[in-house]
Amino acid sequence: MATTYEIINKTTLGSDAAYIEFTSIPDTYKDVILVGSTRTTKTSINDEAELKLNGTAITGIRLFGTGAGVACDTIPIMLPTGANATSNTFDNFTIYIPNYASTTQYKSVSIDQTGENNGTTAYAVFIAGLYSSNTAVSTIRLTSLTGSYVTNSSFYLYGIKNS
Amino acid sequence: MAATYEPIATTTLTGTQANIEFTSISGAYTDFILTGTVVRTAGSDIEFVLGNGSYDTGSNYSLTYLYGTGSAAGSGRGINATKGNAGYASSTNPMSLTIQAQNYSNTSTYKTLLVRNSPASGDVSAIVNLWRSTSAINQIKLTPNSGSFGAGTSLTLYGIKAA
Repeated sequence: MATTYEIINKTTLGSDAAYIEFTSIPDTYKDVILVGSTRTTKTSINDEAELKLNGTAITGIRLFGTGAGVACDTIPIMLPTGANATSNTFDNFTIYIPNYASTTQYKSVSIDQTGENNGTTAYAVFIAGLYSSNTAVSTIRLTSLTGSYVTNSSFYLYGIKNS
Repeated sequence: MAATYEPIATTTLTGTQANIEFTSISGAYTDFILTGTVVRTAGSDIEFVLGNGSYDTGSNYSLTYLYGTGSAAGSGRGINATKGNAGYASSTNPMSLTIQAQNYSNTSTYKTLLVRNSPASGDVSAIVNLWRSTSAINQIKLTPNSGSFGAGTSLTLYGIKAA
């Protein structure tokens, strides 16, 4: 039987990087999912990270909790763990894009991210994103908006087949 | 090696349809995931019923939900409901939806389903549903409570094996 869940590409950083990008994503899967574990050099508990598909930033809604409160806004920016979080702690995230290769509809993006670090503040984030284009997604870029992703940050892009 | 994550069935709509159902779901898996893109013809909740041979429409569903509207965050509960809930969206843009059921085919425990839905317009939400039945789930039917599913809706049911 054909493999349902296949690795398309992966990277684990050996040095700091401002962004990671997956290009030339084949259109042969039903959905794609990007999972990873990150930390950045920003001197804060958290940084901010932007997702772009085919060079365009997604729009959408963000719901997040800090352990002390919950908030919601229309800024679909991820909150990766920053340099002031407990040492050696990295966040983890999932970016799910169903029907990413469609040429007849916009693309919905679902992002879950958590950055527990046994400190006084941590973020749990849910993002509902939209890529308002009928173009198939062939490039995915994640950019740390202030710092850089540190060594050992990892990113795995999987394709999911439905037959 | 036996496949762990297997597609069971896919429904892709080329026109509107009042509901989507998956029946005769094999009990050969440990968990299942129903996931994909949903397009609606109107802003609405998506509700679902479960069953084994016939759908349970009794007051045997309950849920707890966390949501964000883009300007406000909230949480709530519902008990003794006649349907489960897979989230709300106010627009007709595509929305990613994932419904996950662990141990769905066992005949000893009630069934818990985890829902994540990510409409870029509407409520990004995380929902836990409980179906108070020890019956194995072998059918699920989803229905918008207003309007219909629209063209471009594509949902795949995957089975996950633990061994």
